[in-house]
Amino acid sequence: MLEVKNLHASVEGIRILKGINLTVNAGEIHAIMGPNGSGKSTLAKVLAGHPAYQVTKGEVLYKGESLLEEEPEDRARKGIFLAFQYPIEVPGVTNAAFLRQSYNSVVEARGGERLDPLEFDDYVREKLKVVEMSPEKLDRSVNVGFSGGEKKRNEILQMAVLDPSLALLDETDSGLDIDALRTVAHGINSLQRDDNAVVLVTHYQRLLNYIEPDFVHVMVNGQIVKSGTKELALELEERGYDWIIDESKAS
Amino acid sequence: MAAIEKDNTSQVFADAVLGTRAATSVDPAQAALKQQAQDRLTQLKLPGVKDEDWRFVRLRPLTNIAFVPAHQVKATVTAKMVAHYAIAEADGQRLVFINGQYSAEFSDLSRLKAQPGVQGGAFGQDAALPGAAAEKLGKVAHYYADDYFANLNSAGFGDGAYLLVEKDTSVEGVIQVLYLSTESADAFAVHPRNLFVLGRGSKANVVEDYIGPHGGVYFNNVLSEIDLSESATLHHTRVQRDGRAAYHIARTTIDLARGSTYNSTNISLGALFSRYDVYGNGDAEQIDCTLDGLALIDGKQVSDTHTVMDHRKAHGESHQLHKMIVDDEAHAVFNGKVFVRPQAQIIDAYQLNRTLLLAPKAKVNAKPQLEIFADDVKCTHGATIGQLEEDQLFYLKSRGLSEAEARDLLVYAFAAEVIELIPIESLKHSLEEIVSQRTSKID
Repeated sequence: MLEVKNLHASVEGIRILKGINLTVNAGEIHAIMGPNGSGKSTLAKVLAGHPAYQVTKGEVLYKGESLLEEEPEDRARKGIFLAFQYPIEVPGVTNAAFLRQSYNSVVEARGGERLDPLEFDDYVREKLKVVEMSPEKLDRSVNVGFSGGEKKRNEILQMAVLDPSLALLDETDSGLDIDALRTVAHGINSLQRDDNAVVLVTHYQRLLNYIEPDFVHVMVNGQIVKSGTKELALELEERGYDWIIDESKAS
Repeated sequence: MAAIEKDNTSQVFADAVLGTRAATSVDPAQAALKQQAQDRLTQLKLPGVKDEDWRFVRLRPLTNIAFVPAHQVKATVTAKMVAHYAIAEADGQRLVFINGQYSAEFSDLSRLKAQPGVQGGAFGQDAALPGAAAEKLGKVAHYYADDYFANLNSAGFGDGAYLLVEKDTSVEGVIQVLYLSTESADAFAVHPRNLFVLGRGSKANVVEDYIGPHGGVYFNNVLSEIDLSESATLHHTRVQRDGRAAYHIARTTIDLARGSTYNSTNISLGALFSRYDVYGNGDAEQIDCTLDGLALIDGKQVSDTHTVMDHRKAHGESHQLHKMIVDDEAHAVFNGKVFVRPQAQIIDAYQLNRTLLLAPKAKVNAKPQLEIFADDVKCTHGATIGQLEEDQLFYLKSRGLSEAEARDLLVYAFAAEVIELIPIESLKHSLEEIVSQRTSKID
């Protein structure tokens, strides 16, 4: 599904990603962990095509095709979804209108049928159950006046609506209380299939109590320095990041 | 004071606009007002760049035009044209003026006449005002007493619209005052005049509509006077959709009595040159005044809004959200004055001005102007000028919207915040449609 080869990226001239190699296959859940400033959020944003970042070296293949030349909207239409760490507020645009326009753009690119507002309303109400969101939120402006937890659930709702092949979840657990965390995790789990994949960027291990990763990668200073299974995450929880940072400095 | 004019432009312009046959009235009060204004005009000069309130725009394009008074122009209007702009909530409560002349044919006051405690209709050359309204005519506009365009209106208005609501009367539905301008080979000048007088504890919802669906040149020179008695509430929506080659200069002045509420939204979409001035006279306690606005302009349009909120007594509240969307080579100007006089303690004033520039040559001048002389005042103000936010654009694109779709949605959303405030459902929806169409052409 995704092959990242020696990816280097900078923002305003500052090097953030310094040679990332990563392979994600369909059906897999990968967790990317690391201390603050390691570049894990940057990796997710670069894969989604955020304009602030410049790729200086490397290659990314998505479903066998080169991704880096693609516009963000084309990446989305091809099935990549980024759940933002800080979801953007869009006053004046209702959730319903935004979700419907997104859905129709994406589904049309896949050769599917657009839905009119009534049809879409039926469709989205089913998806609301995935994140336990009340229908009245559909008439509110996107993320305006939403609590942190509600914003994160709104991201997962969008994911449920758009049904991506590759979901990049950027610190989706940050700022969530235990109930919100469980709801979000449940939502993500229920969307998991053999033909899609998830990359979870997270600082803390606790989300991984609810979403079991197939692989855990640790990023330090712009590189993946260690990969393992969920045991690695548990070890990080116990020992913190220092030992890995020391290890990577030594090597 | 006034600079000496070499070429007497001010007088020449006034003469052309007013015509040799000065508009008069059978009503002595109106006739006196006109005479007074004509006399005053001989002492006044057109504002120019040396006038602080006019320094950002140029009036020469307007004053260079050889206008004729509107009554000299032939107008052809069909019922279909009027129906297109009729607001459903105002059926039976609609005054229609064609090139400034009241049209009994296209107006419909059946429902208004059936409401006790409400009087509304046209006044002017052939019609007098009911007493309670007549005593207010020309009395509310004191702030603009020496304003050239206000006096030009008082000297030149043909027909006007009045609304008189008795105390404790809540007017049902919406009242629409529709000024339709037609296409003509001659550039003509019109002086729409409005007078809304609300008695103690009364309530009304009024729309002032300026339509000119063509590229002909004309000049709408508007003066609206609003007198609110104690605890009266007026919802006032102004929609300026004049033609692309037209000129629109308007003044609205509001006298607020104790406990009264003035809630307004001004939408500026049309005209080549649009200038809107408002004066909210908060000369009483516990007044509540809202002056929201939206200007959406492109091409070479100019839209200038100068507002004044004058808090003169204690315990007042005012609120202003003014947004401007400027594309191509258009030019938007905003000056929002808020005065809080020494006796005006415990005032809560809010002013937010936000501008969205959509093209490299789009221009804006924004000048919030707060003059506060009392010490127990809360005055929140902000002005931002920017382009579409990168973060928002990326967010929308990351959900599959193209660059154009994302831009259109964000521009529409920017405008929608003001349109949402209009308390008339059908008007809200039709404006949303218009804005949506215009913002998707903008690219």
